[in-house]
Amino acid sequence: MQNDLLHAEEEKLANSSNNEIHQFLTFFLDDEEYGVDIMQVMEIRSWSETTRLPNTPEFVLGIINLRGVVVPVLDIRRRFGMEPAELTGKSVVIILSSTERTLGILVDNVSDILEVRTNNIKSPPPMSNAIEDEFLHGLVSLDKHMVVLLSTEKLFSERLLQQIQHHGENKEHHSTNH
Amino acid sequence: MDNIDDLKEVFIAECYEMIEGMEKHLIDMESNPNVTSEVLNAIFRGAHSIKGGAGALGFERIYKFTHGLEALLDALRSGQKSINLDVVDALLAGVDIVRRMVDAESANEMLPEGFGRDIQERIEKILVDGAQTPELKILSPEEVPANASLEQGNPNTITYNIEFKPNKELFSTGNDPLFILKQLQGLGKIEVNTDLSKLPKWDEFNQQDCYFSWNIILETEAAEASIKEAFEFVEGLAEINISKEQDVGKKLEEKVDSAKNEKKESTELEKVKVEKLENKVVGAVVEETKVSSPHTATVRVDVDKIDRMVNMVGELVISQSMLIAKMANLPIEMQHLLEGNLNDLSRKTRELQGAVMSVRMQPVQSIFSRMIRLSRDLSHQLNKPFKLVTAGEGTEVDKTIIEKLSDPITHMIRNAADHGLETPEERIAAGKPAEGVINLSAYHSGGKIVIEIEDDGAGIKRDKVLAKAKSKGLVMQDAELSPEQIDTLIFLPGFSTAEAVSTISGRGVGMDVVDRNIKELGGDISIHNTPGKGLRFTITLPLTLAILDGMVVAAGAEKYIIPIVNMMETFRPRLQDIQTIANGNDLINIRGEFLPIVYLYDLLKIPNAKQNANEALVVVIESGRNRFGLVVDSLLGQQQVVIKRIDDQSETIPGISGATILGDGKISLILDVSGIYKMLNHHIHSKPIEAVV
Repeated sequence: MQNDLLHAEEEKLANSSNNEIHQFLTFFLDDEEYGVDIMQVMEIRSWSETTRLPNTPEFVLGIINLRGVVVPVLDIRRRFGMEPAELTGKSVVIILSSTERTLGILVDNVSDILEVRTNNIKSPPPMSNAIEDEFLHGLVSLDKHMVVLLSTEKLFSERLLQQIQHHGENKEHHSTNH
Repeated sequence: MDNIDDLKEVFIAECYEMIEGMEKHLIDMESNPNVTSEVLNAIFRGAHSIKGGAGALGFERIYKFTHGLEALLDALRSGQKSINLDVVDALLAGVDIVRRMVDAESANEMLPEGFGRDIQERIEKILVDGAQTPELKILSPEEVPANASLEQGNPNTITYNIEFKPNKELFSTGNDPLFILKQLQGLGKIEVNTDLSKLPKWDEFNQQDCYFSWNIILETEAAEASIKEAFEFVEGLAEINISKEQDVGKKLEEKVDSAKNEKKESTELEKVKVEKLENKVVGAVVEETKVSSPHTATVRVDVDKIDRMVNMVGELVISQSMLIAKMANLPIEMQHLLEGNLNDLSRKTRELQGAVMSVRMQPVQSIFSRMIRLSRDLSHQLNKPFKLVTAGEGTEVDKTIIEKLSDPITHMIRNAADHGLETPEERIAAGKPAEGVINLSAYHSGGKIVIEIEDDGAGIKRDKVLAKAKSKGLVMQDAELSPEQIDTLIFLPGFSTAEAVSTISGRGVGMDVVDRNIKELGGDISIHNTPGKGLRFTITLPLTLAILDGMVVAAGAEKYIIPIVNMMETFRPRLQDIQTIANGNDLINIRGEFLPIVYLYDLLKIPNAKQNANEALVVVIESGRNRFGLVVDSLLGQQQVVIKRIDDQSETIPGISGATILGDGKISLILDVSGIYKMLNHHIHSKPIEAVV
């Protein structure tokens, strides 16, 4: 009974939220613009030296001290198979936080806050680019360019000890699904 | 909504407490045929409170089920039904069902339809039928034999009422009544009421005289003789009456009345005392809440809140060490100016830290009482009569350690009962009493917690173990092992000596899992085998998991922490002390003993570290039974560090057990020495046994 109630609630929410406005924090990796749900963004901080975590994959940059909390920082460029990040004065770490986990991602620079209506988010075409499509939440086209919205859920499930081989496996596994 | 959730949480916590209490009483009932109505009442109250709470919060299943339990208990209590072992067993099964139901509510799980119906029917059947097995006798409190007790759960305590009325001259003989009271206090739980009624008016008061007398209520396991001993020196100087509580219930009642009348003008404080005394008297005659209300005042606190507190204090310690680190850069006069205050601050933060950590400490009682229940069930299932003797239940251990100790101890008790203890026939043939004994004890020793599990069974049959290890390829066929080395074979993965796999133990996971669990807690386990006589496991554990005494070491530009407890010695070896063996690994000669050495830079891929051991330092590490040398660049200093988790995901990085924040705000990794030892072994691929030696 309770389930039914929940279900109804959900449906109501889904109907009304079609045109709800969501905010995304956008940033650049190379020349492409990406966005993450702003509700998951805890803070943005400038790059500080990390403590290296030995024997972890290359995309794990290490850990930082965020006011007493140990937070891992990931180089998502490397995770997405791009060239490793070059540290510039604009490089920043976006701290993402869910109830289960807090982690940082290193990005080239932050760009903007984007307001998007739910029904303007297009589902991503499969195998659109180098990024594993599991990471993609959707696409938004603006006047001149596209913004790739990332799935924070997938980012949060990222494991520090993941073997590099898994990348290939995941892709294969996924492509058979489509 | 939140309020209801809070209530629910409190209710669930209380349920567990009550279930535990009921279980304890029921098990006591089994072994002690003289059941007091006091005990039955306590069990009944447990069921009744659970039922009430469940009803109020809408836990219908719990409500309905406990209603059945309550009805049976009520019938037993009023004497309509008689108690026998079958009834006790049914009640215990019923308690299990309630526990499962509470578990399910707490985890928001759904239990299958009809869960517990069989037990419910069994209980209802008893109510209707009555039972066949021999009856246990219920004793009313007046009939309780002198050595039985009213205080539940402690069958040997006796409550004495002691009147101590010294003569006026007591002080002049050099006797101090306080000393006597303190001695009595050492015998058990004591409640002292001072009678001031003889106190004269101020102008008649002689400071040399004693005007006081005392009424003392003492709950003790000690014999009357040792109470008398306390009064040895005042014999003839005072009127001393010692009586057991039941005999004097009436007398005391009168006393209270008269005390009340006389002391109309008494202070608030004294009133409280008198009321207490009155309660005591009532408690001896009718059922009173003394059983259910604990004496120490406690507050139930959410664990998260405590953890937050521990974290914050950890932060405070770090901030303080940062301050001290910064002070070193100040001009020397300034340092002098601040030194005193900073030292003061350090001391107080340490004290605060200690106080907060102690909040997390819990007595091992919760595990031990579960083991008593487990033993009872095992004894039935295996048809082996044995008893579990526990000691040191009050020993306190960090909450997180307690949670993780339950499984290993359960496993070891199972092992002891199943494999360790022989059948009654075998025991008698071996000249032992038919009933086996398993001792489970806990105590503090040298800043560590020690838990011992000892059985008086057959011990490890070494020839069997060795043959098995050889047949499984865990040991080389021609290996020569000392008896102690053979004993440790049972810790190897995939080792199980049970000839027939039973449901009790021997599920393929064995002592290696226990060993690993204990190691994960930063502890160690050792084995002491006396074939034919028994087996003892000794577990040593750190007091807490949140703080660690560490040595900061450098390798290249990186800093790591080694737990001090694992460090044996440090030295710079001479070149000739290092030998490279055939597989490319190095051994180091320490006073004739060869230890494997591992290079931290190599293991953790640290750039720019010193590569040659004779230019660096070797730290000799002891991890459980294993020793090895760890090569680092230099030692930077000893420090207490607050252990932090690296990530909220539950995976661990090989060789690293956690992280901490150093005085400069930078993070440093804490080395997991047992993990490093495993990595080293992996590296070497040597024959397993030779590496252990």
